[in-house]
Amino acid sequence: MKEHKEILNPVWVRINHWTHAICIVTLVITGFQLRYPDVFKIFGFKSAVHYHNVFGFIAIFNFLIWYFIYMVKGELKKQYIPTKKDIKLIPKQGYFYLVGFFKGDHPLMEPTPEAKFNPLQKTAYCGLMFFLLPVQLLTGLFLWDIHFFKPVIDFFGGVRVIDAIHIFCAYSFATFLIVHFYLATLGHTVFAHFKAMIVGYED
Amino acid sequence: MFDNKFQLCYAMPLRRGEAMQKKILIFLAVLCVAFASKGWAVSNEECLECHGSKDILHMSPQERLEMVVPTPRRKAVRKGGISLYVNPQKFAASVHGDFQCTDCHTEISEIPHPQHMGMVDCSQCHEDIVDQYKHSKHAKVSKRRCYECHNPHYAQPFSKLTLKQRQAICLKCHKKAKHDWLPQEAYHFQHLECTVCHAPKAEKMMILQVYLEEKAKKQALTSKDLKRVFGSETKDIIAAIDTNHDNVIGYAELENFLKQIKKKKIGSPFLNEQVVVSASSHDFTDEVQHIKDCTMCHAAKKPFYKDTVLELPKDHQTVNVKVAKRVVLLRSPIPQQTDYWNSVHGVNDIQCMDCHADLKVVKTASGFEVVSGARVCENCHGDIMEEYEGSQHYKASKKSCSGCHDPHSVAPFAQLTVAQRSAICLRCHKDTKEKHQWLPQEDIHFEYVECTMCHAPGAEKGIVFYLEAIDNQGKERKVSYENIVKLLNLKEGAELQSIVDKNGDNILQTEEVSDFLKKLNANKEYLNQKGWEKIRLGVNLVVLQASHNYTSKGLKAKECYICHSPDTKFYSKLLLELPSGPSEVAGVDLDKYILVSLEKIPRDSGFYFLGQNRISKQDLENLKQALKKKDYSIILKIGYKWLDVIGVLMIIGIIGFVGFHTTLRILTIPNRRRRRKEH
Repeated sequence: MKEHKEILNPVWVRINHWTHAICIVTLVITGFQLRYPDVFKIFGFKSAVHYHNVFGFIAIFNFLIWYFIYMVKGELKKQYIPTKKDIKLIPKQGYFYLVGFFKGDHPLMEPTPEAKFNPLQKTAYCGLMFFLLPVQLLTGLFLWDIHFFKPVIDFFGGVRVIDAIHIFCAYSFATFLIVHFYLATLGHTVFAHFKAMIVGYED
Repeated sequence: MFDNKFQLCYAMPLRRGEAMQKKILIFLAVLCVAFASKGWAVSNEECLECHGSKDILHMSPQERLEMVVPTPRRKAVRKGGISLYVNPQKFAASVHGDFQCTDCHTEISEIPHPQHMGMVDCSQCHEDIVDQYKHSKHAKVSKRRCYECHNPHYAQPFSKLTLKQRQAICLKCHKKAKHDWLPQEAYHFQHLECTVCHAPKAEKMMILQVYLEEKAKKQALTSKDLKRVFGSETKDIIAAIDTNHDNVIGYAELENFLKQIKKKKIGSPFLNEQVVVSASSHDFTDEVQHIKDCTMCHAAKKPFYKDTVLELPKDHQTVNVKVAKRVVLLRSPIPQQTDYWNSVHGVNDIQCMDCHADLKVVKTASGFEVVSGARVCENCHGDIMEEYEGSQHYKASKKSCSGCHDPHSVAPFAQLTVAQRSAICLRCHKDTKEKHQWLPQEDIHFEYVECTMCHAPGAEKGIVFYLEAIDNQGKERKVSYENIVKLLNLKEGAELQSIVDKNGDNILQTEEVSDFLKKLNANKEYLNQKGWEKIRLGVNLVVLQASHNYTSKGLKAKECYICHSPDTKFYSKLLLELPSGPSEVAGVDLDKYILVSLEKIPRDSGFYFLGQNRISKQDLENLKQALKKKDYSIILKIGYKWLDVIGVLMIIGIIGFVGFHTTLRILTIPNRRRRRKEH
């Protein structure tokens, strides 16, 4: 039992994760409100703008903290950058999710503090944390004050280009959120991964 | 002594030195002649013995004849009002007071003098003036001589004459100075001297005089009053007013001066304007340039007067100090610097008289104020007035038309930019920034949206694209008709709409606009010559048909979706503003899809119409219809709106996949349990 209680997610990771989770969920919902003000009313446009801005900034700081701590610990590369071996294993991992899982096959690997992610996770999170999220946060920042960021916005081709990128990333995030939530239930029990993110270790 | 006297004659066209030299020479010559012929000349005292006594006026012709040497063969010179009697004191005080009588009356060398004498030749001293006058219409028509207007015995230096005294010279004969075409006739006569108009070549100046109004009494400011304002120890009053000592009294300095007078409770000061001639011309005419055109004085780009001075009292005399031109612009009710004929009223040939003919206007300290008579604007803009008077704006502010619009310089509404339109409101509503802090992207809204978009709910609104050139410094300017003609090498007068609207359906498709811009930007030579980087589409959200029913509530206050939803109805038209002639623009309908087109159209990148870029039911309907008709151009047209289609499909797809996975997961539970047990 003792070895099972090994801390997978230290406190700061868990706080960071849930802060991020609250931000992204709020941003997605308020974002939908901003995009569809006439279709449904959750917050109303005005407060949607307000919360979208507030949680946007929290998300930016949260991301910076995450990046900074991982940089200091020097674990970024190890945890998030897929190696050649990882990439070769992607089809196998995919096969597990689509077929092996139903057959009751053993997962390719169990998460350990040294290697938390399987090859597919690693690749996905790499794209998410080093591309999708920064792009989304930056475009969001530009759109927060169009007047102030006009020179930068113009450089990228104007507000509608920036906005198009932001909207596309937003739909991607919404999609990711669903996938992320579902895949989290695929631990050795349905709630195993959730528990790991709350108390730090799996059963 | 001489010098002093001549100094006063500053209206003389001769330079002072030259004039003096000439006079001294003439004086000496006269003296010499007198000496050569008769020894001592006749003195002024001798002349005035007879002519200085009023008795001469009561003598019979017979009695008078006995006192002179009869010259029956000579013809009498027409007298023209010059009296035989000369008041010795008044003569001594006149501009000619230091002369000997015989300096002018040169035929007299002894007493008694001849009965009939030749006419005094003023050109001996005033050659230039006489020359100028001889050729004037006044001389040709009336044949009047110098002395018939100016009494040489009592003449005062021109610069010392008051406006009334100057006018009196003309009005002596022109008793019925018919100016009934002139609006505010009395006002004009009160503030202008005749020659301001009737001597076109004279140099004019505007004199501002300080008057005090106390208990409905108006009085000119005296040097005593000035001492009370600045204290008796202040010697240099001008320096006290002209605080920056640049010898020109600026607007702030003048305001400050008037404030100081007010503070001392001497009376409430106001400025009185007079326009007078500063350097006279004797080329009088009744053929005034631009006759009866008010804009000759009231809308000239360049003021018709040269200087503006403030007249200040100084020990029973006055001194003039130069005043900044801006003072007049701000204080004067007359539209000095505006080019009236280019205003919307001028362009439509509204003559001054059309509005000002039957107005009774009074002068107040702050300028003109309409106190009675028909309300001018209502004559033409009755419907607007009616609408406006029902508005919250009128009820709260009681502002009349001119409170917002200057009728003399107002440009056609369609030609005003968003900034210019908003400026009309922002002149009074200074706290708009604070009041609109609830608005997301406040600056962007203020840049592209004019106030009345929201605050005149009844107005017809539109999104107007226009052609703008970006120069090398990044500055924007509208592209004119002339620019386009040169850019496309067209003939002058060419019609532009048909060039843009190739299929002639009167609606500009995105591709048509894109092609047109490409053509404009292809003429690199002209662009370089102008220093322009490129030509792109600028865009504004503007009111197309104004409504004057203003309200502070705006368009259902603070609901963003009124404007920001794909089916928004707050605007009725999407237009391209296309110059249709040298000074005309036409609005051509634009296809709505230009807002979301993927086509690379250079356009103002700051404009982004949130809500308009989202797919709507109508778009999906259009898509369905078009695909049925196999019109695949709709795919490109929908442009940025595909984002939502793709995004929503992505979400639906993943939910479907998760659902599918979950189902399989449930179905394979027994299978997996078995495997686990096996292990």
